[in-house]
Amino acid sequence: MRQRILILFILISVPVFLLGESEREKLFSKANQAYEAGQMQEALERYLDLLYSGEVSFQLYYNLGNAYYRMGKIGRAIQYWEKAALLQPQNGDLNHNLELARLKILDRVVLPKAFFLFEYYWDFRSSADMLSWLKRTIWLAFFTLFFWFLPYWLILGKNIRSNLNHYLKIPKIILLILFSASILISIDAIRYNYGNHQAIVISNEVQVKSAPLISSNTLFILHEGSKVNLILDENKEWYKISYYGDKSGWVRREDLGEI
Amino acid sequence: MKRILFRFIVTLLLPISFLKSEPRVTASVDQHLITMKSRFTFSIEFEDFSSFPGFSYDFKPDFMLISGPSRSTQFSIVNGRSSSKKVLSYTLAPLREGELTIPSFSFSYRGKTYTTDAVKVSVQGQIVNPAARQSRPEQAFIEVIPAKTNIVSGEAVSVIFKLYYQVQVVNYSFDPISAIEGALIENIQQSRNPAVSEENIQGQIYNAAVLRRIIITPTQSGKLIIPPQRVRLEVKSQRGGSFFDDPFFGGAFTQSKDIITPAYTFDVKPLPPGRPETFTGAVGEYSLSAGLDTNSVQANQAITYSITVSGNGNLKIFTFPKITFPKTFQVFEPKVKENIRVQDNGISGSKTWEFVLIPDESGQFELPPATFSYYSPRQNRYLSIEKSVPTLFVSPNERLIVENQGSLTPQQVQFLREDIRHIFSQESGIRPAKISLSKDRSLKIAIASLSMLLILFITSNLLWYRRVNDPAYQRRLSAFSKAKEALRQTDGTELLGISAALNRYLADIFNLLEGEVHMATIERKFPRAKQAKLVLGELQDLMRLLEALKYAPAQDLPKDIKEQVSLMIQKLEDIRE
Repeated sequence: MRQRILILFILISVPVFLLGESEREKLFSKANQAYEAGQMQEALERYLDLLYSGEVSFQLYYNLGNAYYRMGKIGRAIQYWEKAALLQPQNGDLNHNLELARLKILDRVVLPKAFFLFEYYWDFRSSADMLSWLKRTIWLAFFTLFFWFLPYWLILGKNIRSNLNHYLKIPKIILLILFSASILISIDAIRYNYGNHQAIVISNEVQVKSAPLISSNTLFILHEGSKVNLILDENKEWYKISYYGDKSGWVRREDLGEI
Repeated sequence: MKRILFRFIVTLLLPISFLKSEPRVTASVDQHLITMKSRFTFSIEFEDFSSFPGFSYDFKPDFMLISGPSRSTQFSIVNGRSSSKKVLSYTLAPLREGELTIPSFSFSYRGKTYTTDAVKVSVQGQIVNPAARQSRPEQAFIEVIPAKTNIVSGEAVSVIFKLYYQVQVVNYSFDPISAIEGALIENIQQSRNPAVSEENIQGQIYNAAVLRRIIITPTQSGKLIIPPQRVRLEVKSQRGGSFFDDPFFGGAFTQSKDIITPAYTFDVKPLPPGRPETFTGAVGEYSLSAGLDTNSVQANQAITYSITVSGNGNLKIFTFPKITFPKTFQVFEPKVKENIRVQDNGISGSKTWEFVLIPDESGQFELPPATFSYYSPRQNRYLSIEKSVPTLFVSPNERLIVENQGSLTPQQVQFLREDIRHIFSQESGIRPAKISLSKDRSLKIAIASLSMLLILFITSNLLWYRRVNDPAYQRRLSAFSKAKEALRQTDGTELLGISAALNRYLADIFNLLEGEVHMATIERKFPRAKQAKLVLGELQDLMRLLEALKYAPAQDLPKDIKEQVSLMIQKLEDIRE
């Protein structure tokens, strides 16, 4: 009886699972077809349907950004490309699009070149997202432990510890260094991921106010596509933002798209 | 029929074409004897020209063009002969006295060249200033009176046009002077009702009023001529001597009268040699001030270096000499602010240059002083002024934010022409929208593997330490090697030594005291396996033999007893493993 129930469950669940996958692929494909036919509004709606399903992918964010760009909404385009960059920071096509879009925004900011070692490190850290760094660290921990204590486990049966210890000495040290570095990078990636709340200005022009009130003074003006840092001091209608750490103020939520 | 019609038209038109005479051009003036204050009309007649030929005529240096050219056309047919006449008229005024000639000129018209005749005009009686005047027959005349006659290039001088009159002037029109070759002109705003005073000239009382004031700034040395200007006066006159011509009966009427101002010539001297390097053409009396909006900034923040030149003179003409700032500063084109007033006595005010500087590096900087040179007509020499600015302190700035819309590099401009890359056709790595560490499958696998390894590691370590610290285990571990060593040191004839090695081995492996090594104890602790039972039997036999040999003579001791014991120990070790 139990076996029959199990077989019935498998027979029902497998097609449902397969159907779910193909439905998503079909939607994605239809959105792409609309994009290629120049029907950007339709393509955008289909991509957004996929987005609202609760599951995302690098390609979905990327294509969404492209659709917004074709519709002239450069702020939204940058927002979704930035989201895609969190998943695949080193993607060449994505970086090309982002670079092109950033040249077209009004409030272009050119930061000075940092110390070259920092730049190397930031590039290396952004070669993978936070989750990948965590996984790498855990697997490195696994292998470090395995090789480090392998001779002790083997000695339980036979007395050959000394020879094995000799051969494993260098791999053990390398693994330990890699593991230590990976832990530090993972901590930094987590801090960067959770500590960097950023958003893109999606309205043509945004007045940054001194207080979350329409009647308050305008401190400065930002234009579509500018990236701002969100400060965790918000209310229902306003975000407190800082612009490259130099200026801060309040912006209406509807003018920003969170990354 | 068509041929007949053609012949008729040709027959009709042919005589007309023959009647039409050759085109002809003549030049003439309406009067040949004129005074300096007179104006005259110079006309060019084009006879039988179907249109006005295109050309330009330059009357300089002897004549000034007052107005024109005006155009008129006449057409007539006399005795079947048609003729047309087109006339270009110029109103001219002489610039000097003497026998002057309007030169001939040539032009091309429909492939043929035509030349006019030169026209002579006799000009007499130039009036330079009131004192030089011997006779003044006019009832109204205008004098050109400069504030200073001896001027140098670049020196601004005020000039007034003063009307002297003995008639009743009710109105006047005097157009602003727009341009004079070799000089800049500033017309001073003048009241429509100028103040009138009485002046005695050559024993006659005239009313005098300043109609126009200009500031003239010569831009080159040499002769500078203020050409004659036309001033139209509305003069009230009376009719003849009849009783009814009395103004009471409306006998007065208004008449327009044009007066031509005399030409005035300045002899502009060049600026003397020995110009300082920082001289950029300023002539007048000036003062200089310079400063920074702040003397303490962070690197990459902008500061303003302001230089102000104040005084009287040709403020509108000159620029500020170039300042060479340190190379570590970004220097932008200066913003020029002018506060210049054109007044009766000349041009005065100030001119400010604001240089925006951005220091690239931190440090303490002595910016170059502002140095300005000008020519002082009052002192007849060049003067230089220098103003220093305070020391600038630039502190380091870790961030650089340059917001500059127009600063794209050529590579970036080229890049802007490119398009975005194409979309991806397939998705991969689909994941929940929110990154959740607890829901990532591969992360779970990694964590589970590590956990298992850790559990294994801890468990095995516990076992390892327990065994390492167990004395019975230590005895078992070293039992075989100790027995081998004991047998090696024993001679084959030393039964006690051989027996002791076996007993110690058995005591070690079964964790017994040496006194407890008996057949019964060993049998109880011996493994129950079938193969072990066989070895146990052999061990019992060997132990009995060793016991019996204790009491036997030495010569009865088997020669291989040591090997038998060694073999037994090896068998026991194999079972134990």
